Amino acid sequence: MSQVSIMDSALACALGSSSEEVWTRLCRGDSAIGPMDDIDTDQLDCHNAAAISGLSRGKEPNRICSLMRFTLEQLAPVPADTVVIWAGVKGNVEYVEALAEGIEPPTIRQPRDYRQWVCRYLGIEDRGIEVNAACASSTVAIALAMQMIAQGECSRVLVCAADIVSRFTFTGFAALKALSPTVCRPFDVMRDGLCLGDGAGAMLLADSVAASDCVDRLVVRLSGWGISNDANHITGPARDGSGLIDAIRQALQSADLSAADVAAWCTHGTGTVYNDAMELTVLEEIFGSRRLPLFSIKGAVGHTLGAAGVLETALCVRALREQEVPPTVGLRRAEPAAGGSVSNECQPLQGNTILTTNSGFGGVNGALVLQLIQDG
Amino acid sequence: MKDGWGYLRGGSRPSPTRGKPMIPKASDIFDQAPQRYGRFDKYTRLGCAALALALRDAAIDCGNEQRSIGIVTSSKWETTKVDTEYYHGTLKEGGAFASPNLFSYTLPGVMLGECAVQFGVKGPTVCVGETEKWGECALATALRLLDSMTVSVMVAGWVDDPPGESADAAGAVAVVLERVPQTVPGPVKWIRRHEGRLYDENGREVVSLFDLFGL
Repeated sequence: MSQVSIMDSALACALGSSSEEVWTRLCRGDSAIGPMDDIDTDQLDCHNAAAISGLSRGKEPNRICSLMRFTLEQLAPVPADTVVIWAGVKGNVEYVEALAEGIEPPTIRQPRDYRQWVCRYLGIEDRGIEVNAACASSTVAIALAMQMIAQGECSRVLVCAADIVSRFTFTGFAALKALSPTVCRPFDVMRDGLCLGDGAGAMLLADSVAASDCVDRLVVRLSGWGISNDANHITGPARDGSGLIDAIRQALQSADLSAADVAAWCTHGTGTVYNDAMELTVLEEIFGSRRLPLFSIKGAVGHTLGAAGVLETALCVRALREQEVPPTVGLRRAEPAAGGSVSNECQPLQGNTILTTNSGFGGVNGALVLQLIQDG
Repeated sequence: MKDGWGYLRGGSRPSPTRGKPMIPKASDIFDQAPQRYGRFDKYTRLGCAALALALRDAAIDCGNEQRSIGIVTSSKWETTKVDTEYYHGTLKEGGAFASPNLFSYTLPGVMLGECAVQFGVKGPTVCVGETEKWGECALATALRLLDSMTVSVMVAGWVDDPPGESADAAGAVAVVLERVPQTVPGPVKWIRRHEGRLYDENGREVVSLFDLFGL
């Protein structure tokens, strides 16, 4: 089985237009969450999101492509034989909204259209798949990419993911009472829901042969993955965290590591009462009384749905290299069960292994284990 | 070739290209219907029915026990039809009366979630895109997950409920794949991977899920 390394990544969200800017602002404790200009929320209880101001389709088929193009521009040239996996949750919202409002719908509407658009834009072969696993979409996509490389199916996979704040998703999450009427406060005793966010990310993964071109001897390796289902409820997490526990154990086992090896956990941390409580149950079950640093970026960048996994994985790469984890922005008073683990300030990272997880509607959970390795 | 639904080892053969899909009554499929069956949209009903038939055919008892089984389905249009229905409901009163139930079913993975709850499926559940070859990506992805050794049984399926003029091309099919067949006395069919391609026991290339039905 080939080892899989993260060769390159890029992201764009309301907090910043590059990995560097997002990391800097995140560590400073900034949040991009604020009142929305583009969506009329007068008759709703919630009005905030982490939306990119002035995001327009420009010359692209729609706003998702425009955001993705901006993200792809940040990558180094992608080799022509790279396989592309597209991940997203609601790529057809602009199509559906245009149809309902009687305007010309965009030509891009299906997941396959997005993947082919990425291939055309990069000038690479039209190869790959599209993945939808709700809010764990890009985590699952990275896991599948890892599996494709590890099995020798291909040498490189580019995982691309994007979702935007739309009237469709905003009204939907508002109807489910999942949106915060204030701001997103993951793991806070007063948390009252999530805030949506615009986001796109791209991550190039490669096997050890392809990675040998890399001049940087300090590489971040994807060491393990796990995917599971709660088999409990379609929109709420299993309160005992059993599905996420399964995914984490699977990821650690495939990485040939134990919970004691994990130095930090990048949680899904949506800021909803039930998600965060579930993750704190998992914290105790997996890590016992050990208080390792955990964090959520969603109080700063919002919940970027299908893009959340790739954004968070990209920031975990940075955390491993900087040897510190970012603050959980929005946190004021931590849940007692999170005490000693979560902070609204940067925390030192003492180790070379990070766990990152996402969970989604339909009961799906995804877990990835990343390790900073001195290569050669 | 008849339209309708049936088993790999019996019943009438499904047609992916002609006729309207028959959506069986819940009582035809389930010993105990899913709790929210009455609220399911057509995409979810089709997918859940195909999975139930496939699991029954594979003699996998989906009682109260939860199992490490995974599901991968492919779809071209995903939930576009219910998306449109949901969005129309948001246009009045500034979206204040948008339907939370309809919104839930605008995520294709929720169909898999319903199946997971109904059949106690605890393994990976993923929706993938569709080519013009029904279920090609689902089949390939399911085999990748089987090869990962994290799960020994996967259900691969195709589910679609297209909008507009293509609406007649709705339907669903599902097959149970097992790495080391144990649940039935002998496997119905063998498939193997070789250099990224799939072949059946007669050496014929398997591209679509329908190839497994001899269609």
